[in-house]
Order: sequence, then C-alpha cells, then structure tokens
Amino acid sequence: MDYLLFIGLLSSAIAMRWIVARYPYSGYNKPPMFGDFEAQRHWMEVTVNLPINEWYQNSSSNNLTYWGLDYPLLTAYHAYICGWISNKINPTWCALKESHGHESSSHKLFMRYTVFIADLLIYYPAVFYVYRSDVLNKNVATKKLTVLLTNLFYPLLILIDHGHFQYNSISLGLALIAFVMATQSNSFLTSAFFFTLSLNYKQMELYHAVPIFVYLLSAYCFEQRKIKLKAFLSLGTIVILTFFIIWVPVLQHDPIAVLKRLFPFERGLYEDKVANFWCTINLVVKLRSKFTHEALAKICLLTTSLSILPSCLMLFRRPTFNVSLCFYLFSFQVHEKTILLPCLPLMLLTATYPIECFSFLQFSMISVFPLMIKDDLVLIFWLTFIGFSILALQRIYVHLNQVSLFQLFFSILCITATLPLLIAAIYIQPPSRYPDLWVVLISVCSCIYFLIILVQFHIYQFKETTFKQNPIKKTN
Amino acid sequence: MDIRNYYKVIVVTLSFTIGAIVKLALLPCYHSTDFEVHRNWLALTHSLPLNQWYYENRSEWTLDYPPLFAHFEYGLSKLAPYFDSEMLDINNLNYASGKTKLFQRLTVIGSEIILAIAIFSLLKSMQIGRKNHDIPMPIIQLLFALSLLNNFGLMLVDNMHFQYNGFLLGILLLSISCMYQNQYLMSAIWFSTLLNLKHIFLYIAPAYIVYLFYAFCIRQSSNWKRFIVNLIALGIATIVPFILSFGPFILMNQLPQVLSRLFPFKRGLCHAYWAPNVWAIYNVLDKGLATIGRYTRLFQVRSTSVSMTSGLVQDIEHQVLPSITPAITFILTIVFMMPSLIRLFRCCSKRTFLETIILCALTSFLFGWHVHEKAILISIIPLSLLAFDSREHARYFLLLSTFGGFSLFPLIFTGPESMVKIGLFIGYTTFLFYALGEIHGDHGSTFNLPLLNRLETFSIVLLIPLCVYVECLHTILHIDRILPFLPLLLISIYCSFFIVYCWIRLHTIEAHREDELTAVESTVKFSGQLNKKEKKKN
Repeated sequence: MDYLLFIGLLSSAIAMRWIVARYPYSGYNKPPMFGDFEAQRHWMEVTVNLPINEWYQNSSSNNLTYWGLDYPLLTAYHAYICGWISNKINPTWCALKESHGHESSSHKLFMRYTVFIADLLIYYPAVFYVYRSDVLNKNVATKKLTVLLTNLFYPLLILIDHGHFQYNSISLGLALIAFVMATQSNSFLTSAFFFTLSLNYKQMELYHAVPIFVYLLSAYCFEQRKIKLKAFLSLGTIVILTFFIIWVPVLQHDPIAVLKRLFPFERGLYEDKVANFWCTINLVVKLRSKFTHEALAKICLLTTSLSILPSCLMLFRRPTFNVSLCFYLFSFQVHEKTILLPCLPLMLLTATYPIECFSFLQFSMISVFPLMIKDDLVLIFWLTFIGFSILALQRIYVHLNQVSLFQLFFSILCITATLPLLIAAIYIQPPSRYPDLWVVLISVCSCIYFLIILVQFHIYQFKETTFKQNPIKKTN
Repeated sequence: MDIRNYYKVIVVTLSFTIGAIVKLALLPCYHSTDFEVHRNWLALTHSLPLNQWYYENRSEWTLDYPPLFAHFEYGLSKLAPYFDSEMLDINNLNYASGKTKLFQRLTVIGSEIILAIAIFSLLKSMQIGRKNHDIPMPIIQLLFALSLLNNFGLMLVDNMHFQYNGFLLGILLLSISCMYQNQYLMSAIWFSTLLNLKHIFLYIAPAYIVYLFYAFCIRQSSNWKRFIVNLIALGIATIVPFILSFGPFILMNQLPQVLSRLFPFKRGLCHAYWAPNVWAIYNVLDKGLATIGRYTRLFQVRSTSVSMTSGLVQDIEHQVLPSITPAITFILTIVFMMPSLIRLFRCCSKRTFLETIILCALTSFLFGWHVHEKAILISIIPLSLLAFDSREHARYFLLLSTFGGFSLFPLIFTGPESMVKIGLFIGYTTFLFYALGEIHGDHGSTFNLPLLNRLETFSIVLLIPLCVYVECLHTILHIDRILPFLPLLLISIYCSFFIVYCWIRLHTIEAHREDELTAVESTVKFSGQLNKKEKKKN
C-alpha cells in the first residue's frame, strides 16, 4: 500500500513544481542583464561553443562581465550537456553571442524541463533514500513521513529552482545523500564521494563542508583519541581522486583563474540586503566605510570560524547540523538564496524539533520575499506560504506530544508580526530617504529570528552531547 | 448550531482553503476558448438590453446557456469594472488582459463557495462514510470534502479549461441534500433553478420527476385531496424558476429564438473531440468496417464528403452502418434509462434515487446527441457521495473517475501544462485509491489496486503507456503528420469501453443487500454491546 502513497506524493510534488514553473522566471523581459535564467542559458551557450580552457577566461567571445561562469566545473559540465541537447533541438537557443537575452515560450519550456529532469535524477532519489534509511527518526512512521513531506514540498526550494530558476536541487540532493550516508558506518567513503560532487557543483556547499568533514573525521578516523590511519588515508584518497577527475580538463590550463572566478572576494561584504549578521550590524555601524576590503574579509573569516567553533567541537563528539546556519549569518558575500543551505539539514530535523524547524523554514521564505517581488512571484509565494503553513500545523499537531506550547505561540507571534512588513513591502511606497526600508526591515527581522534559533540549536546540541554520556535516551 | 456541526464547518473550510490554494495557483495556466466565451457573455449581458441577448452574434460565441445563467453573468459584470472595465466592451473580442484573467478565474473559485456550502449541508443531512472503526468519522468526512473540492476533473475543466461546473454541481448537491432532509419542495426549486442555469442537467431530470412524484405526491398523501394539493405545490415549485428565467422572453415572443440557441441540433453526433461514449465505439466500428469493405468488397461502402476524424463540429455520415439521427439517440437514451427508473419506482429509497441520478447521467452521456466529454462529471460527482459509504460503489467510482478523468486529458494540450495535468491526475487518483482503500479496509496487493480486481488494475496500468504515447511519443515519432487525431481516438475508445463497463455494473449493484451487509458487519463487531442493550430492553 505504501507505494501508492509514494506515487501520489511524488506526482503531487511534480505537479506543484510544474505549476510554479508556469510563472515568470527571474529577469524576464528585463534587458540588458536579465537574470539568473539568462545566466544559466548563457553558460550553456559558452560551454557548448567554446573549448574548455576558455570557459573561465575573459576573451573576445566570452565576456566575463556578462554572467561569466562562476560555479565549479560540475555546473559547467551540466550546462554543457543541457547546451548540447538544446543545440540539437534548436540551434538559435544557444548561438554564440547572438542568443543573448533569448526569450521564447518553447525555450522556457525546455529550460523548465532541464530542472525537472535534474530533480527527477537526483533530488527525488535522494529524498526517498533519506526516507528509507533515516537514522534520526529511529523508524517511526509518522516522523519519517514528516521529513518526507517537508523535503518534497518545501516551497522555497521549488520557488527558487522552478520559479526564479536555478539548479539548487542538484547540489542539495547530493549533499542530502552525503548527510545520510555519513550516518551509516559502512558508507562513509561514498558519503565523502557524494559530498565532493556536491561541492563541485556549487562552492556554496563549503558551508556544509566543515561539519561533514569534522563528523566524518571524528566518527570514522578516530577511535579512543587515536587516529585510524587506514580510514583517514582512504577518505583523503577518495576526496582528492574525485576532485582530480573533475578538475583534470582545467588542470592542464589555468586552475588559478577558475579559483578566482569561484571566490570573488573583491565583490564586497554583501550584495543585496540579506538577512545576515553583517547587514543587520550595518544599520548601526557603517562597516564598509571604516574598513578596507581585505580587513573586512579577515574579520568575516575570524567571526565565522569563531562562531562555528563551539558547535564543531560538540559535533566532534556527537553530530547535529547547525553549522551551516552560522556560516550563513556570518560569512562574507552571501546571496539571499544561500539560506537554502541551512534549510537542508533543518528539513531532516523537522520531526525531531517540529516547531523550531518549521518556523525557521517559514522565516527563510520570508527572508527571500524581496526577491519574489523582483521576480513577480508574489502570488505563488503567498499561496505556497499558506499551503506550507497548513502542512506545518498539521505535522506539528501530529507531533504534539514533543512540542512546547510556549515555543509554538512565540513562533506564530514572530511570523504574524513580520507579515505586515511583507504586505507593506508590496503596497506602500517607502519614504524617499530610505528606498530600501522594507527590505532592510524584513532582513533584520529574519536575522534576529535566525539568531534566536541559532542559539536554541546550540543549546539542543549541547544537551544532546551531555546526554550522550548518560545511557538515558532522549524521548523524541 | 449544534455543537457537533462545528467540526464539519472546520472540515469544509479546510478543504475549501486547500482547494482554493491549488486553484489560485493555476491562474496563469492555459485557458480554452471557453474563457473568451464567458468574457463575451459578460460584455454582452452588460452592454445590451435583455431583448437582444439571444440575438447578438458579433462574436461567434453566442449565448447558449439558459437565461438564468445569463443573469448570473450580468451580476458578475457588475463586479468586473473593479478589475478591468475593458473586458465589458462587446467589440473587444479575444480580450484577455492580466486583470481580466484574474477576475474571471476568481469568479470561478468564488462561485465554488456554493459547492462548499452544499458539502456542508450534505455532511449534516446524510451519512457520508460507513462506520469504520479504524478511522475516525471526521477524517472520513475530511477526505470526502477534499475529494470533492479538489476533484481533478472539476479542476481541469473549471480552473484550467475554464467553465463554471463546480458552482452548478454545488447546486445539484444542495438539491440532493434537501431531498435527504425530506424538504421535497426546496429540492425541486433548487433543481429547476439548476435547469435554468445549464440545461445539460436535463439528463437527470427523469430521476427527479419519478422520485418527486412518488415520494412527495404519492407516498406523503393519505387521500386524493392531499395528493392533488401536493401535486400542485410541486408544480408551482418547479415552474416558478422557469417563469422567472424564461418569462421575459416569452413576453417578448423570443422563445423560439432562445430555444434554437439552447438546443443546436445542427451540431453533429459527436463533439470535435469524441466523448468516450457508445458513439465513439460506433464511429470506429464504422470506420473499420469501411476499410474492410473497401478491400474485400463484401458490403457496400457509401462515399462521404466529410471525414469524421477531421475534427469539425458538423453532421457526419457513416459509411457502412446506418447514420444516427437525434431522434434515435433520444429514443435509445430513454430506453436505456428505463430499467433504472423502473427500479426507482419499485423501491423508492433515497439511496436508489441517488443511484438513479448517476445512471441517468451516465446513460445520457453514453447515448446522447453531441455529448461533451465534460458531461461525465455529472455522474462522477454524485457517485462520490456513495463511494465513501458502500464498497461496491467505491469500486466503480474509482474506475469511473480514473477513466473519466483521463478522458479529459485532450482538453489541455499545451506544453507547460501537460506535466501539471499528469501530476495532478496521478496525485488525485492515488489519493482516491488510498483513501477509499483505507476506509473500506482493502489495502490492495502487488497486482491489485485497492478495491479492484486484477483485470481492472491491469486496465488502469495500461493507461501509463497510452499516456506516454499520447503526450510525447506521438509527436516525437512524427505520427501527428499522418494521423493527427489518433491520440484523441485512442483515448476516447479506450475510456469508452470502461465507462460502458461501469455503467453495466452499476445497474447490477443491489443497494439493499449492500446495506444489509454493513448492518450485519456492525452487529458482528458490536454484538457484545447490542446484546447488552437487548438485555436491558428485556
């Protein structure tokens, strides 16, 4: 009987994605730069038409200021495959230089299909793999179902991948597989392999790299404070080998140029108004006027590593997943879409800490609201937001015995208190002195909430590590 | 209000909200020419006086719904200026601005509040869902409300293709619910209002006539005097909506014109896309015989000017088999309705009445003249009232809604929507199988879907290759250049076999035996309690 349920959920998830795909993508009809959709199309154009050594190089036929390729090689390979197929279907879609800003309904459909197929090949198998071998929930059916539902229907991922247009589900799906494999003792090498793939799809996955590295190291390479050399070496070999195979084509030419494209430190502290610590602090202290670029970069690095240090130490003893959240809040040069990264581990924890996770997921949606206004996705944003709230409330109701009512009321209060801001952001023109008033307020609110959750998760993590010494099992 | 009804309010509101979210999300989807039809009617009723409504022909989409629906459009046109007053200009043909789309889609979703109210009143008045001791009653009722308010067929036809069926079927359910509360006159008023909104509901009028006549006029009257009073009351209740709607046109001597618009018998036997009914099989049989005849010269093949498969809405001639006229379809429909009507006359229970409604709708669908594929909804929706209650009905409901839903696929043929349509269809169908399987305690096995036998399961699984062929292989293999209508033909033929099968099997269900079975089951389960009660009585 279970298979019926799976088919039903899967096809509803697909239907939901295709409904979102019917809405406009980012940068639709907005020359000269268009948006992320054009970036992806442009990468297909570049990779298909140029030899591999010119992909990351500025040249007469590859103008890097116009959406130059700035993701690692796996993205480029993916773009190459998609570009090859699109060339077969219609060569004008990817004609070098002539196709800039190409917009047609059939091309849109093709691009939507590429995301759909990527989901089908990587994200859904990952989600069902998580469902099948979920160690966090100790095989309790309702909890596993909660995680499955959240993974399938989390709207922000759908809105960004199928509305705004990106391929986050690939790197996130790979990371998801890596997370779950890491918890199983016989597959930590494959876990490292999958994580390296994910890292090579998007360098943003570095956020997850620290915890997963620490975890793999502590769980498999150390035993009673002694290093297991064999395990350590095989882990290292796998990672380096994977990296090597992926990077072989560029290694002959100029790998440094690629690295420079991947980590653009010269871009500044943050791009738009983002719900992170720096953007919030900036209201009080104008950091950018006081420090130089390099100094800021160093400060960021320092604070980030300081903030992840305690949780990494605890992780060394027992794993949970809150490090990437620290990264989001403190790291340098963050896009608002990066909030998807801390959301990923939280999706796995929805059954364990339902309220915290669901309200965090809601707030993550709120924090990208300005982007939704820009992309003209407001209607579908509200619909999915409300729909997801219903789902979240239903799941919280199912897990009511492990929920503190105070926390529930607090979260609902926080969310409802922020909603007027969102409405104001659509309808009320901000005063001319502060053109970004609503956007900044939204990011400050979500940042504060993220900080609260961050502290809370540190506490949980601390509790779990201390509990570990006692044989008492936490009643989940 | 009774305190027990509060949770029913919550159940209905929740399912309506979920439905509204999905339906609103479908806002930018493809819409058919029916969108322009209804926009034109908005403009027409807004800008012309009453006496020109049925004469106006600037647009090819003339008003062909009964007058009450025109009044409904007139009411909507009063709200339209708040969105975009351009759409009310009668010369503004094919106008579809963003605001117009929003407004028209919103009116469809808004009018479905009637359906939600009808479901609430049904939950109050009849027992939806058998007493299953594993699943609490509110959950069964929630599943029922969800299955109606998120019905795939309704969503496809109303919220993508664009029509107002949800609201009309809501009125039908209101009328049924009044019947269950023994408010016969109210039920008659609702039903004749419905007839004046869309005359397609004439399909099920025989069931209403027989049941109202028997249950209200004969059974409720002890003497002749009483009988005549009841008959007159019933007549007045039925005629008042007709007078309100057609009266002005009769006064203006426009009745023939109105009727000619309502019943366009000049249209062909089948719609442009053949509905999955008997005539689809008949047409294919004729085509096949013609081909055989041409090669073997065993029988005479008449040459015709128009090909049936050309997709034009016009009269078609058969080449071997006798041609069908409207009179033949009419007689056939009446003849095949007779068994169910006679059964209704013999055992006049509310349940039989509901079954007769379903059978009448299905019979007309199968044998009617120029039937649209959307008409299948008229039998699916009432059948869902029984499906949560009786196991046998659940079985045919599942089959009918699967094949009926699949036969609606050709309505939406654009690229971006095809995956939406398939996803929603599979999602909704598996939801029904899962929910009904749990309620009736059949979880299926590897080769059996819940409640179905192996053959039926296999026929549903065969829909997958058919769907793959129709949706992609047909264009990829370039068969569309040689045989452009092959997918439509395949879908309607395949579905029509199973709809005929359901129709035959639905006749054979003995409702009362089913009732007795449930009664026996519950006595077995609660025999202990029952015995105690009996002892107390003794």
